[in-house]
Amino acid sequence: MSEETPKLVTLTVDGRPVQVAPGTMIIQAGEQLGIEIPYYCYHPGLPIEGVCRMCLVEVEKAPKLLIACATPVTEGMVVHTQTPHVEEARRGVLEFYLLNHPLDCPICDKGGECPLQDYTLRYGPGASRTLEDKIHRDKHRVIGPHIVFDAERCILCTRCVRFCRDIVGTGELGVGYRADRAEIILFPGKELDNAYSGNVIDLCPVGALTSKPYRFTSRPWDLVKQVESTCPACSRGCSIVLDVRHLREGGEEVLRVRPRHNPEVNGYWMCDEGRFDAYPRRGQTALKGPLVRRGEAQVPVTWDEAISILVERLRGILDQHGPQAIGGLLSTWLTTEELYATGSFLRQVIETPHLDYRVSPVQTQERDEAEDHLLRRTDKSPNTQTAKLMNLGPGPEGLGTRAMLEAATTGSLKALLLFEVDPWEEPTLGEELEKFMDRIDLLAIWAVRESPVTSRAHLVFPALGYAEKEGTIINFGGRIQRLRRAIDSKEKIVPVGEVLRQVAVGLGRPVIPLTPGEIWQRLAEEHPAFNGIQYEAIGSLGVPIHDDR
Amino acid sequence: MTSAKLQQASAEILKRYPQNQKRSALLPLLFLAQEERGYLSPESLEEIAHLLEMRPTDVWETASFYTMFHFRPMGRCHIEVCHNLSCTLLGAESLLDVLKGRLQIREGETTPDGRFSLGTAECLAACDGAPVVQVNGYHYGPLNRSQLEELLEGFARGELPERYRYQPWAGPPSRGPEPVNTFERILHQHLLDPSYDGRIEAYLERGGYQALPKAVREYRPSEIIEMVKRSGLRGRGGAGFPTGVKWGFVPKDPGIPKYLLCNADEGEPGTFKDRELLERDPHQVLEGIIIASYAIGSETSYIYLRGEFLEAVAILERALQEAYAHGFLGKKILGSDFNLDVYLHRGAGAYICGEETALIESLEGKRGEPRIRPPFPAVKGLYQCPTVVNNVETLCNIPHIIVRGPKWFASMGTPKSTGTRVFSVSGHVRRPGNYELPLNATLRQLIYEHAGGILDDRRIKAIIPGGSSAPTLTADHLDVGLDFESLAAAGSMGGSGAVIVLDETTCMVKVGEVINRFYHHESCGQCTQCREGTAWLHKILKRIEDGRGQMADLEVLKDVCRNMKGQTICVLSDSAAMPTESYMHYFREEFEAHIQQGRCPFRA
Ligand SMILES: Cc1cc2nc3c(=O)[nH]c(=O)nc-3n(C[C@H](O)[C@H](O)[C@H](O)COP(=O)(O)O)c2cc1C
Ligand code: SF4
Ligand code: SF4
Ligand code: SF4
Repeated sequence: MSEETPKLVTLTVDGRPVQVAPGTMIIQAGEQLGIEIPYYCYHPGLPIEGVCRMCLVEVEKAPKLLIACATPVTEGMVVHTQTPHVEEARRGVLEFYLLNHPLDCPICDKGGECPLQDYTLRYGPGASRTLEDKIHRDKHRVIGPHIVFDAERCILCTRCVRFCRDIVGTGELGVGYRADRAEIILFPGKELDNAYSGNVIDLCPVGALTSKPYRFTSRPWDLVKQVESTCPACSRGCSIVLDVRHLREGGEEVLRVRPRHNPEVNGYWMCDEGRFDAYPRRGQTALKGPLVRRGEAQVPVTWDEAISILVERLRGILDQHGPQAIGGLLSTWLTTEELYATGSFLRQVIETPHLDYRVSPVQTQERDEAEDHLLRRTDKSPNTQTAKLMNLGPGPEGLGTRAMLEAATTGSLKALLLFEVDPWEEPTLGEELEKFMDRIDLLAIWAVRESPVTSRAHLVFPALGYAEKEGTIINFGGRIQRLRRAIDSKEKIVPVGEVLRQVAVGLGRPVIPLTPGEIWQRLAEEHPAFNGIQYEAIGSLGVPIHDDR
Repeated sequence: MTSAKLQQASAEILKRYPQNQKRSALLPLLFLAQEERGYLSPESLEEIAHLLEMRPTDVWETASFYTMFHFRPMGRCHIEVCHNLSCTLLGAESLLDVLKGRLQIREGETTPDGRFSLGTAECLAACDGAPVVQVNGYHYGPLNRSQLEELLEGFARGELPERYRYQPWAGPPSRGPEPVNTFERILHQHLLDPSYDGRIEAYLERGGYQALPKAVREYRPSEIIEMVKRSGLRGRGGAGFPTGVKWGFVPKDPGIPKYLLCNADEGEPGTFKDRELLERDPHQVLEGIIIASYAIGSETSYIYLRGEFLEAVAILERALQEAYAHGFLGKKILGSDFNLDVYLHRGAGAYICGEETALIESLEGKRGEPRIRPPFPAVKGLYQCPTVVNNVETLCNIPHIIVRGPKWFASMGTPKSTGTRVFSVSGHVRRPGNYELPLNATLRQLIYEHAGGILDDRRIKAIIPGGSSAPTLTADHLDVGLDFESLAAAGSMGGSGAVIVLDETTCMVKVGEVINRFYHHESCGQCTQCREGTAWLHKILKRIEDGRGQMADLEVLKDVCRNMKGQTICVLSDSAAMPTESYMHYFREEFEAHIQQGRCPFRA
């Protein structure tokens, strides 16, 4: 090794020795040992402020208690986190916080997952001793498109201020006034409106900053489960947690999307689009079942019927015109496994060279670039990287998207399969589609929601939403991460891979692999980028693709 | 203020600060905009934000921290009654009653015709003129009810009469005999002469600016630091830290800028000594600043002047001009290689800005929030550069140490507390005022020989010896020495050198209420214990004073004090808790009497 590893510092916390890098703060050393040192203002992703004074610990030879968040370790340091002095200080801080706290936990969004509530139970005073009136402040101030502020609950930890100032750089929030008149402020007439504003909801250790949509819709303890997944709303692929709850009327829904710490991808944060828009838009399929066009009308059919219709139509075209008359477009919305299944279907089952991937929704910018200094990418789909790695463009004799549409217009392309591609998202494509829409023999589409294409296609297959399926996506930097199924779809949805497998069987063609394990084994064999990667080994933080460079 | 005017002014102001530190011009620009329009509108704030390339939020959060900025129109005559300890002891509440009655408004209100607005102020550093009233920034006092009524007539006519204006060292001599002058005065030597006007000629005539040439010609900076170390001089701002040692912490690297900051924010209740030194002998301060800057290698120095010291602004500006004109400031001072610019920077109403790291933040155009140490300012202070903050009085000692030598200085006072100290005496004494005594003198000498003893020869109940942050002592402590060690051994501290004397008629619960009202008002609000604790102490004490106390309150008070001590970023929190504990320690029966009788036994 050429780089010198810095000498570690040894200290003891509550009698247990631990070695950490120089410059580590006591609070992190404690964490390494699994020793809880309570805190409010500290956050590993933010600059240290040291104001809540909750993390005070006793350090031998120091004349006073020291704050664990801002006291760097030294060799031989002896730290105690459970002494009567420390416990008394914690009790004191909590008693001070509660003096003016409204204690409206039963109606607070944070109730059940609130560090103020939790620490009060664990370390706090038994009963309130104050006889003074509480200070009244604004309880419900809408401070931005997503955020509601309750000034009475705020404990002035300044996390939200530091996030906007130091992480996003927009600095909408500040601390105004002083002493116990101090309050979180915005400039008169201004809003908390930046691309990452939702993070203040997670950062706020109390229920002072809450989400406009989430507020009052659920009590945190109604949440039935948390599912670790990956945000599909741009090529960053932030690690996320989906909070899912049971609906009284049956079924489940994604109630909240929160970032999950992943140092390789998103740190502690995610953007508002991923948090607030992605799942409502594409989390669950809005289509109820397959549709077949009969004359001018579309009629619902069963999955089996839809599949046999597709087999029949494809066989007809194959028999009459050969595989060259069939083309397919794959969206980068698809997971790696779906891309593999659809790509293999076109290439190995149909044996057509006419396939192409579409970055959808279509990018306003040519290239996938950083949209700001933090996370957002200009490619608003999750899996372009995979489509590129798998070469899902037209082969040498194949037609690309434009050429395929032209061929459909002139009549040489008889069937077009659209896998979550919606040409109506790309105006010029839509216009071209218009030209052959009524002439083409077969237009089949997989989609999560209705569009001008679904309403006119010969066959419509509902596709699974992001919350409804398992799979992987590969972000712009080549990190493979997993999407996890969080909820069961309301209607019976046959995954696209399974549909295509049955179609292959129906056509008497080679069967394409179905399980992720099989698909990844094939991928590893077929593409150098996937060399040595096993599906099971993709942990919660993902793994990088194989990089030969 | 028109944009063009503000822009022009800002260009001038920005010259005082490094080019990449525009934000430092924030408080000066806020003052300008407010002067023009009477208050700061969101439009003004936004314009200033634009000029300084700041976010409007940052301007707003900073502006709202300081009490001298107003965000709505105030009366044309804005009257604020000081209700801190010394003024309350001598009748501030009755002055406030007069004003409420005459103007028919309450605190915080403006008369319907917009002529008057009324408020209260915290200690204005004019306690020898107590009770004091601040009117459009000018200080009047001592005032009684009829004098105030007389003044009101002038105010109503739109005048700001000269009569009854507070002047440092102008307390009425009728209050007691002239002090016995048994000690040599060092810092006050010029002030004994009533004709001394503080101009540079007068200062030069009396031997001023002899230390500076000696310092820059005969000594290297490190030798000056050594001399100050040997003199034993300790900071006069509150903490009593050895000045030479502090200077020695500054890295010697010539590549990084260093800053000397003169702490002229004097805000510790009961303290008014720096104000007198600044207003009456400004060149003595400047000479100290220049030599200190030379010693630590600072080429830019700021005097952080308390915002309420309106009259000192012109005095100091003039003194600076005089010093530049005489070649004591500027480039190549007295033919040496030493360059120095000194600028005046006004605070805007925040006691906490006297704390050195809050002062630095404030000078950077931010909220006056103390910083976590380490790093200490000597390593990372103003603009993250090595910085020394020294009190006005500390710096005044420097020229004398250079001229007369460290040995001479160390021969005064006690071995650990050398030299003299200026004590601000106020409260129930006959001759309140500033008295310079060697540090081996006693409280008794200060109070009886110099401050003329107690009004009406009443008995002493309590002596607060180091500003309101110091735990109280009692009449039993009269023979305690004024040095840092003796006061600490007696359970209190030297603090800011303010000695507030309370006679037997004083209610200690009221004293507790008043000082905690102050800390509640002044806490910067960062630390939980201080933000919440100061307010809680204030509220409990007010309730007890108002006759609504309960026995359990005494236990709560004790716990609150304990939980406020030793746990926060700066010691303001301790400064509220320690004196409160001491009042309960020495005068517990007074607290109990309030609770048992359901009223204040000291009120008629
Ligand atoms: C709350 C608080 C207020 C203070 N106010 C003042 C002040 O008004 N003037 C002052 O010189 N020092 C004040 N100090 C002390 C300064 O922090 C600092 O110690 C001093 O200016 C250093 O100068 P010195 O070493 O010359 O005393 C204050 C300290 C605290 C904690
Ligand atoms: S709103 Fe929440 S995050 Fe912001 S300062 Fe208050 S408690 Fe902290
Ligand atoms: S930056 Fe991209 S991946 Fe991350 S939350 Fe936003 S849209 Fe999702
Ligand atoms: S102790 Fe009080 S004044 Fe000092 S930093 Fe903390 S809150 Fe501010």
